[in-house]
Amino acid sequence: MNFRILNIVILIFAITAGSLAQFKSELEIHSKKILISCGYYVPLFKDDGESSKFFVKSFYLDSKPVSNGEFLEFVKAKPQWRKSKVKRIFADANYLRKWKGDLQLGKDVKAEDPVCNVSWFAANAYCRWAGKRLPTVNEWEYAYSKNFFNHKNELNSGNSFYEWTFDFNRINFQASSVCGGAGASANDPKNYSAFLRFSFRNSLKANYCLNDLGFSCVADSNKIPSEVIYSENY
Amino acid sequence: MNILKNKKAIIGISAAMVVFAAIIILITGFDGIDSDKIEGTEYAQLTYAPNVPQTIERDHPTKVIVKLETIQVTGRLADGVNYNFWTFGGKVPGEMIRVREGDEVEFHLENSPLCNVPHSIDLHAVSGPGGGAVASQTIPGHSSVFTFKAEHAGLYVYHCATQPVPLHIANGMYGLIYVQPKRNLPAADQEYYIMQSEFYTNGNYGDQGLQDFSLDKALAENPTYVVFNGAVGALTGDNAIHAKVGQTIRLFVGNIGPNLTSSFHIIGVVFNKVYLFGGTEVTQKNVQTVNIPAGGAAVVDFKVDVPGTFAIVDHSIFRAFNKGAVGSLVVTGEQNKDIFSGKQQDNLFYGSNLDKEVQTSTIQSVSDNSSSSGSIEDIIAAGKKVFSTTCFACHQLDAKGVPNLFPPLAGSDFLNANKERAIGIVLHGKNGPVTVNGKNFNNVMPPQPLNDDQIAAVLTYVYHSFGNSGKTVTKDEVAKIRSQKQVSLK
Repeated sequence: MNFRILNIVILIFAITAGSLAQFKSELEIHSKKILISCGYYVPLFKDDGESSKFFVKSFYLDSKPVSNGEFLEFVKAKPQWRKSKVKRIFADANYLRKWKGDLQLGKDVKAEDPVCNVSWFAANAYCRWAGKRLPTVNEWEYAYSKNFFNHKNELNSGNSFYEWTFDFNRINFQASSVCGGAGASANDPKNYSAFLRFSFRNSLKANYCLNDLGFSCVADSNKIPSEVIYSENY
Repeated sequence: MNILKNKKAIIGISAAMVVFAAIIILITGFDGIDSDKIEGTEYAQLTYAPNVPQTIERDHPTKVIVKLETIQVTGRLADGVNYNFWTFGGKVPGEMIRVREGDEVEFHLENSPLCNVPHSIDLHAVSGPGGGAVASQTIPGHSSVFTFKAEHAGLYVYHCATQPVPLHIANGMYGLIYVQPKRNLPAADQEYYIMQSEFYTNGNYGDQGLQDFSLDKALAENPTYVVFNGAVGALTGDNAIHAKVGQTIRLFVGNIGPNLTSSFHIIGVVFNKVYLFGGTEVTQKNVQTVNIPAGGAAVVDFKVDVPGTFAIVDHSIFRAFNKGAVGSLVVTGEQNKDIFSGKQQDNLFYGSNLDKEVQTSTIQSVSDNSSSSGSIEDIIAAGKKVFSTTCFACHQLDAKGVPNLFPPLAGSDFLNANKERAIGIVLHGKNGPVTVNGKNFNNVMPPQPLNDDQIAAVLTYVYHSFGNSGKTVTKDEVAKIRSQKQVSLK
């Protein structure tokens, strides 16, 4: 099947944009959204009683992780998520660590680079503010398996970038699979890159803010015109 | 009466109790093992290989704080070869930890904010889920604390136990923890820390530059490198371990694998005592090679009585020769010829059973053809065969020899001057300076394992060829010279 046809790229129009200037800036900083058409996904791990493959509904994925510039718009609109205001139960002391101030990025932080050092609570709040949501683990891994993310997990090169998922700690991965046992319960014990991601997610708590951890937004696809909904797996 | 009896009984019991208590105190108090109560707090000494933390002199347990940082560093795996190591403490192997049996260990695992994956620690000395792995799962930029009782004395491996565990181990996350027994092992003069491990790279052994991890080689258990202390050469040259003649040397040896079992051996050393698997009892004395499983350890004690450099190897020997599993122990001090003489003689040796070989080898056919009953042409033909299978290697097929090395036989004044001398040289060899056609040579010609027929034939061939004097050598002439005990080679 032809992904170029299926994955129609649609620009987000800032419906609530007040002024032309604001409209322009949103055009510059907002990423495109990509339709991820529905299909089946075989997770690395599953809970007892779950089926070995999941059906993932079609959804829109932002083509890039949320940027510093986009997140700045969010904290301008929502003061409780500014660096000096945020409560520690929602974000630890590393929240927006590289930013210079509440509304200043600082010279080492580029507006177009992915925002890091954000907690799950902050990422989730951003998504709600933007009218979107965080992807589930299954949605994220499904999209990753179809090469919709640029970032790779190298097995030891140290160039990793991780993203929050809505249900990041859904599978109790470590407790059930300490040391060598994990391979036995995994669908593909040779998928070390997936192990790294599951392991990373499993070590997280929702208020953690880490250097290599950002997020992408997704949106449900039920507003998509019916003619573009299609999958070979239907 | 009853009262009196009771009194006696009470006195008797009391006396027995006093004696019993005295015995208990004698047994336990005498060795200083008089307390199981935790007293005081201290930070554990940590050392990088090959150094071992100092012996703990305390006679009571204490609270020991251990802080280990996990950090990812790019470092040297071999000359010109780099690798992105994942480490405990910035080096491979990680820092060695020493605590005392009964200590309460407060363990801090600190994951550097520069890391990009979570890490943890499974200490094989810990009795508890995952050896601490679950309690110590730590995301970059965080630290975890857990406490365990060092219940079991012995030498133990520790390693990262975050998924995927084999990758964390293969990238370098391991080290040793020694729980020193309450009743310590006999003192040693030198203690060293050695850890064997494997690295799996996409490139071949020695391929230059930064090397990636190879999952395929790891799954096939076919390492590119097998090393001591984290890199090729990390235990040789300037990094060799040292001792003096007569000292007791104790090695704390771990093997993490991640796949292979080690055949740990030191060439020219017998381990006087082996605490197999890192346990606290001497399991065997006078051992040549110790098996150390992946995720296991051993303590070995030995003395070296003569000076020299002793190679430390995995005696699964291709690993030592081709994959890097070599270290050096340099021992200095007085020579002891009674223990080891050094080389006393350097002699030539031409194999045993000469006569048997001569009679059964392919030369037999030559011998048949060269019988004294044959014509001169037959003899020369047989002699040519001997020449072209034996003599040519040095004197060359054209018999012109090699300048400065092997004298010519072609037109040789030395050869033509004395037939008996020539027979003697083929029979007994020639050692030292000789002048041929005005050129000096100084080399060794071994005696040739040829029978009388063959020597007669080959000399006749040489004398009839290469512009020589055309002399004929008979079997009897050879036999006569062979029978002479002393032959002048001058």
